[in-house]
Amino acid sequence: MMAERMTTSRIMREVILALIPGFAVFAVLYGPRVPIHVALACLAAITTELICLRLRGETWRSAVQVLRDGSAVVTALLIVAAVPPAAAFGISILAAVIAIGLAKHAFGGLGRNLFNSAMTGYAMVLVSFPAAFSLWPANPDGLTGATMLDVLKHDAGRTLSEFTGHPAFGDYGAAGFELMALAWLAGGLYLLWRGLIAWRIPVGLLITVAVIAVLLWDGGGSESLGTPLQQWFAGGLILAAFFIATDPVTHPRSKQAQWCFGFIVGVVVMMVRAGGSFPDGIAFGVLLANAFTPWLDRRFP
Amino acid sequence: MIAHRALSARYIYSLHPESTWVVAQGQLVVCGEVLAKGVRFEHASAAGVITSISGNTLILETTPDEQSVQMQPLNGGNSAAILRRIQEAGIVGLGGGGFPTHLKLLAAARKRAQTLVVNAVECEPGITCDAALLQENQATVHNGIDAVRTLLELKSIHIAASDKTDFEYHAGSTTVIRQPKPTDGAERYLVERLTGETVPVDALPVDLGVVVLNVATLHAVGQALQGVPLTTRVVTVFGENQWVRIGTPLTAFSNAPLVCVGGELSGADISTTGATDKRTNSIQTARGFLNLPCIRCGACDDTCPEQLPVATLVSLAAGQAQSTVRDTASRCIGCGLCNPVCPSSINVAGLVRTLRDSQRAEALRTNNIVRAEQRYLRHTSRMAAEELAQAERRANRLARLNPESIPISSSHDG
Amino acid sequence: MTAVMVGLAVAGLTGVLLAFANWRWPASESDLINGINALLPQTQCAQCGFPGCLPYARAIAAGEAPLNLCPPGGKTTHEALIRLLPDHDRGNPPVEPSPVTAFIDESRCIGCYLCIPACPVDAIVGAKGFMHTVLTKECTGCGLCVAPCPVDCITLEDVVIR
Repeated sequence: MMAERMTTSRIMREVILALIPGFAVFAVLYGPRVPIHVALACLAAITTELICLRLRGETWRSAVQVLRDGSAVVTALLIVAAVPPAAAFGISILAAVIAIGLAKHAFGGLGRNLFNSAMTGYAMVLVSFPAAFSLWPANPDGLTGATMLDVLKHDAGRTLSEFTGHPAFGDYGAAGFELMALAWLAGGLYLLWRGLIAWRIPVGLLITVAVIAVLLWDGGGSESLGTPLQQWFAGGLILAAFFIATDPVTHPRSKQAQWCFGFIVGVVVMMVRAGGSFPDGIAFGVLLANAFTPWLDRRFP
Repeated sequence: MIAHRALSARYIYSLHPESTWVVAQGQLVVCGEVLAKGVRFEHASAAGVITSISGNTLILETTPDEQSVQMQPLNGGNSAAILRRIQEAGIVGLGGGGFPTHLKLLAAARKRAQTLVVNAVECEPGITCDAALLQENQATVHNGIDAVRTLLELKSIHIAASDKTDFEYHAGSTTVIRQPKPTDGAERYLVERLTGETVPVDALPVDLGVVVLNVATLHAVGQALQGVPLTTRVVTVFGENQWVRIGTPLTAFSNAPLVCVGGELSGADISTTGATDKRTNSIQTARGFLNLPCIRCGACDDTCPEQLPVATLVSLAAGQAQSTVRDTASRCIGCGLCNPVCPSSINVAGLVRTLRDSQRAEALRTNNIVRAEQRYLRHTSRMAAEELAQAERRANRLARLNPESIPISSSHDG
Repeated sequence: MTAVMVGLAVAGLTGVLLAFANWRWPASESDLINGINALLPQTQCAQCGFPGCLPYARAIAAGEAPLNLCPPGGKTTHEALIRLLPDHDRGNPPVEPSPVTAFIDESRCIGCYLCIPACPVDAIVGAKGFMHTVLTKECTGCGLCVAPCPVDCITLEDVVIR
């Protein structure tokens, strides 16, 4: 009679499915630390959720039922995707605990959180342990080194063509990063095709980033941030655009509001990339845009 | 042949606030006897004894003798007689609205309606009572339409039907809608589809000269002219069509605590302690909403045919937001398409309906308040003016009696 | 140090701007009174002790009356008034009576015209020596007509809600 009913756990299942290509590349490139991070972060997320649900008055049985919606696992996965594998395992565990315990359940649980829970956890460990976040290996051999954004920011003397010669880079992002970004993109396009995410947000975000990159372009000289495409493939932008900013609970509902949301994230990301002391501003961009969501919903119903 | 449901041991009737019972506890009644009179008439749907009248509820315990009574057939009556007959037969909108049909036709006559739309589209999945009725009782439906033609000077008659029937009133009168979408039977959309006229949001089809009647209502009108009051109707019971007497207790259909009445999209899950009434057109398994937290996925927004901000209305109904879109809830047509797509199994349509009702009540309250304030201001100024006029009359009278004592401040000549 | 200076400067500038706005577009007292009156149910029943809703609003604005004197407004009005004036003396929420409407027993009415001027919303129609009747749609149930009737033919009936 009717199509098979979509449930929250089915949606989460699709998201996990869409994350698989990216995680596969992630694990192949960066070794066995990746699945260990995944396992530990998921365990931490699930345990935190169980404890929080008990504290909120659920029985063990009903708590397990709630767990089955899969949202805690998705949060954990997004945190692991953002944290460098070389970082201590405790970092992703801590981020997961904060994300689930503070950002999600302290606000009322699924559907009631104001801020993206994965980004809250990630932002807190980012500002608390900044050194751990420059530990992205420059190439698949696992040697630690700077990320492309790090290099762009701190090596102001080099021109763009000198960059692309640096071992960290392929033609667009760093070689490994390019592949991962493409894998995230594949997953993101899958989610778009399934109609599970609001397309205006990733599109708005990417367009904003591209436009600002063009505006700040100085012909490939030493002060520039790179081409739009380089910006897109740098850091976790593709992951953020399709998986993080599109968390339905924390973004606004209407068309215009969603364009604004994508714009805000893009602007903050580029501001941090251009002038902030952190190499990437995705977490801050998403969190700030989350803060605007209730007003955007009121202003553009 | 549509089967008749077996006689139940008891039947339960509800009294509308604008009607009054005309029978007493302990009284023996026969099938078709009048139980309540007023704007809405109620009739006993079986012979039996009235075991209880308590407030608005009457319980009838049946006796097996199945006696019944009818009215005189009405042949060639004038408009007033036909309308009275429709009222006395207890006919209300059987498509689900339950509005008194004689009032609807009276309004249509006043507005000189020229178009009749017979709604047999039946777009709700799983309900087939209208199509079955139309197929089997074409003559009576025909008579019902004839009766409406006597009341109104109709220029065109449209019958909207699904492809399960071959009914035609006259050549070309029937439009078949194949595989209707769940919104196809909604009055507003149907009128636009058949006549090309758009019914404004705050208006009714009758304001455009179009009267829309459900086919079961017209069948009941046809029966009323033959003398049969409305005591039974076709109901789709778990997919099977049956003639079900009005007032059948819901426990006769299911042992579950809840059943879904009115269709799985636009209906409601109601407790089986109740009974069917004239509006009940289907009985199905209760939907059983889990009402998990809303994840703001927006699936409900995407399915709404009126493009309402459903997700926002849901958070409004849950008391989670203030919003300027509150009054869009009144545009909800109740199609229920937002329910099956919700991943959290929330009764979205139900929440919007609650919001719409409370919003209507609030609008009424505000309306009354504004009105009262206007009348108060007029009252105070009227009183002040009267006092002033009174003072002037007194001054005049005194002046006439005693010319020397004209007050200096008087404003008239001697 | 610079941060402190900047912070102070911003605060000071904002203060100046606000003061200017207050001087250029002052909130008038009648705005407040109208705002309060808009929250009252306009039954004009005088149960608050004031001869109408506007007088009660004026009293509240002047700080001479608590917020809980309006029974027809009930909890809704009380809560709305508290939201508007959170520091005002609020008292306990009033008990809201069920909706009633006045009803004139026509077999007793002598057409004396005493109830008609008493009705603050002119919901009674009639003339001297002629039958009086209540327009139920306009009646707010304030009950001010009951006392003036010399033959006690007016009662307050529960409103039937459809």
